[in-house]
Amino acid sequence: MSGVVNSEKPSSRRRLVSRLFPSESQTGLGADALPGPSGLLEPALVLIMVGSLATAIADFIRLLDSGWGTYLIMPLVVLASVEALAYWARLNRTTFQPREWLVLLLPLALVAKFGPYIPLGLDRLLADAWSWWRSPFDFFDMLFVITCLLLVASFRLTLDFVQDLSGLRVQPGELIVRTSSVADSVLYSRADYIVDHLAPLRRLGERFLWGGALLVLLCALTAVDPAQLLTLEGARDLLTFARPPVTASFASVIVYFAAGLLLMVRSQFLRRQTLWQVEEVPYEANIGRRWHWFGFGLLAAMVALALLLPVYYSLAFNEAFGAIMSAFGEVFMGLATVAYLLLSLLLWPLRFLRTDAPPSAEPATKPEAPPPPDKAGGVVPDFLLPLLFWLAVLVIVVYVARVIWLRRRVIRTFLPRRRSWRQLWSALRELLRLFWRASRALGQAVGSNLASLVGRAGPTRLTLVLSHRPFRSMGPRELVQYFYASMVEHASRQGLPRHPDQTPWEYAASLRKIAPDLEPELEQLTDSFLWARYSHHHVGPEHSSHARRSWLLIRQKLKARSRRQTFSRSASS
Amino acid sequence: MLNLIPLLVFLVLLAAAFKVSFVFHLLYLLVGVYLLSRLWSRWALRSVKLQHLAEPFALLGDRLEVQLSLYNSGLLPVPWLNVYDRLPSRLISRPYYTRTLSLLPLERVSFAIALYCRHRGYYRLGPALLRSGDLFGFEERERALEEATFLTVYPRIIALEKLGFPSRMPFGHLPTRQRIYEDPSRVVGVRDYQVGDSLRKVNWKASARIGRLQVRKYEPAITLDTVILLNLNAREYDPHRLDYSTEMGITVAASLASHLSSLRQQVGLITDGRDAAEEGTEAEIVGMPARKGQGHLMRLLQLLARLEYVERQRHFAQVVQEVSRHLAWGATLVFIAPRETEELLDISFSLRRAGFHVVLIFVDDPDRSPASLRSLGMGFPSYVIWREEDFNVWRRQQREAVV
Repeated sequence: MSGVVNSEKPSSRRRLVSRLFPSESQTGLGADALPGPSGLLEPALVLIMVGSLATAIADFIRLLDSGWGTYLIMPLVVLASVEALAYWARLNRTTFQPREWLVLLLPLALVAKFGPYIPLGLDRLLADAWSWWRSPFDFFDMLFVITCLLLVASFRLTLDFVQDLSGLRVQPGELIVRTSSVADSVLYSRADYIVDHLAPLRRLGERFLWGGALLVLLCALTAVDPAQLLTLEGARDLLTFARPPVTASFASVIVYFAAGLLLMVRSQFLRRQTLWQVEEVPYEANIGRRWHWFGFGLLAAMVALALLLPVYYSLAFNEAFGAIMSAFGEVFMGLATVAYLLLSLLLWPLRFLRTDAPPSAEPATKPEAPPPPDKAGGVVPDFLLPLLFWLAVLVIVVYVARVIWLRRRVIRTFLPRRRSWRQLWSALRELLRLFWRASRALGQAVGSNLASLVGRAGPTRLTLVLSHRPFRSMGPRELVQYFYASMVEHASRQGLPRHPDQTPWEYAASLRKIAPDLEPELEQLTDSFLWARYSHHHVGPEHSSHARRSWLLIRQKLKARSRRQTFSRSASS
Repeated sequence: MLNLIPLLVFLVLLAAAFKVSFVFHLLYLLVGVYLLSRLWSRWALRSVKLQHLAEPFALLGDRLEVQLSLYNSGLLPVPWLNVYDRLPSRLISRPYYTRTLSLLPLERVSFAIALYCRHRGYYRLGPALLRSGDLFGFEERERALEEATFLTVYPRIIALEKLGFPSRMPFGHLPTRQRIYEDPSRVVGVRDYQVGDSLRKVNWKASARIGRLQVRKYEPAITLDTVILLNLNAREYDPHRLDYSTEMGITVAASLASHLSSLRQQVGLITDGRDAAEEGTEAEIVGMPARKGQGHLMRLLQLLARLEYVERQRHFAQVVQEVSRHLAWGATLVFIAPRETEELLDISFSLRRAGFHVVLIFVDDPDRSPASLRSLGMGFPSYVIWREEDFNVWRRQQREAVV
């Protein structure tokens, strides 16, 4: 970025500092990629905040039931946050898909469920598994549900943090493009749009404050033991500010707030830097480093001061505050009593105007409860519901494992390369394919019957509507990019991968050589993708539907090609 | 922006209700951060000083480097400071200078700004606007620094060699053919005594050597005390050529003043323009009495550099009528006016009758040939100066030197 001035020769210390607070000029501003957190500081602060929150929640849960093993919550929540950070780093769109979440979070949920059985042994696991088979909902005990919710919440929270940190940075197309050509300068020498960088900052601040309030409340409840508050005396003491003081220290609270304030310092710097870049104000290269060091210094000093200062005086002040609030409460109660008396006095004559009979002293007869349903003799056999349930769970788990296996090839290097694994995997894959075909046939049959019953939409229409459902959250521009990426993925699976150095046109040319039957849809889809990805022109639903048609046809052709190849191979063998 | 107030209120209530010690520590931390940040940004900005370090005068065509110096005189660092300094648009393509920096305690930072003195004038460097804030975004403050530095760019001066202006003032330094203005300090030789010669002219040593009476021969000389009357009333100029014509008038005035000063003549200036340095005062007449010397010339050129045209209700001839009472008898009055008008000719006549020499120079009449001027027929030396070539009437050879 031309705004940064006074670049210095980096020393080893500078290199370390620049790793912590990298300059935005190194992150490729102006590129089409979404800007994300750079360096180690932002991810570390987010992880610390989420971890502190998870610790406080785990402590509170343990207080509710000491039998629950909550030691896995904090590491799993931090792992979920790490996954969210990695997820964002690989993401180049602003929408999230629940399927991806499922793939990322299910392994952690399984660890949360089965991890505690490692010290307990296999017998306990088998015993519990038998009880889960008989009653599937026993699988979802309270701790597991809470852990799953925490995993989802931490994933989402981290993503929100990262998304807002990204929103503070210069967005693609926001900077004015300087070109040497006169024609280009006439066409493109303006910023495409204006971005509000204050809203992400405000959201970050609100999230930090709300999280802090929740954390403090949980820690306070943990410190005073919620069982005490459930008694009448405890509640009265709480409301009248008459509780005795409690000495408790929660490192997680201070750590959370220190990390959160540091994140605010960083966010404020990012926003300022973005404004300078957009307004083309040159700024010194050392300003970011100094900004962060000043923030560190101020916070360190204030944390030390806050921890060293005695709370005795504050307790006295607090008692005075409590007395004032109590006095206010007494006055309020007195006023309420007077108002009630006045209202009763005003309404007293109305009693004589009532003409209906006085209510009878006998209580109304209680309606009879409906008879309990007859358990025996049901239409659905007992084994079918657990079977369906566990089958659904199995499908989900297998889907997740498949995605992880296909996308994370690095996992394979850690696994022993035995033939049995492959055989097992191929058998499982065949089983899944069989299941998939059966369920698809079932779905099509149901769809066609349903359509014939409804009488309006044919099966094609129904299929289209159903297949559109996952893309609801995507815009037309993202849909076009998605279709193109899906086409590339399908082609890659069939041995036609796209090299990282290839442009879309080069890739289309290489595909055309190998599979000429993909034309003209391939050219149309490539054209639509380039239009959506690299141009700033409007992309409407008609573009996305056009790209979708091309994509469907290409996919059919690729499948047909794959079938032909398989057939020819089997015939030759 | 981060708003800690709701959280602080919540913490106060929570601390009052639960009375858990760590809530108080947290309160200390947040209150401390909030107050200290606000005070820091306030104090830090107050201790920043800005200064323009530049030469106060520059010649036309110079490239002037202005040092913008920022000094943090306080003991608190300034985390970020945005400087917005206004600059004269005639001297730099982007008429402002902006930069963001941070300042450590007692740190001084300087930046060089290059100004190209392409136009005569009196320019203000500044005022500057400083903007800063705290690290958390609680508060953002601005401070305007009204103290400004001024820069004077001298007008263009074209070298002249011979003016040929008339004068009747004796005892000057300029040779003349009019014998009545002999200068007794300029002895050029001796001649034989004639009846009627003053005895004070007799050169006794030469007479003794030759053997007959010899008298000293003096060179006739005059003093060309000149007052330049520069018309800068925008109403009297063609609005389409206002900028060019007034600039040409000022160039003519500066060139004449420089040339006359080099001849050790007294030069003065009277104009109805506006002195840019006297902002706020609406004096209708700006001028300098006729003096000689290099210092006087520099002051006169500075005044010419600062002059701006202005719209006046009064005609320039009326202004001259008013000031003519204070002019020395016999002085040469050089009118620099847009064009020949009745009022100008009337006042020229009356001034000639009063004993002044009047020269007329027209700078806003490009289509008029000098021969067709009525004033020329009336006996006034008149010139039309519209282009640089028109200065050749005052040059023996067609060469120029821009000072």
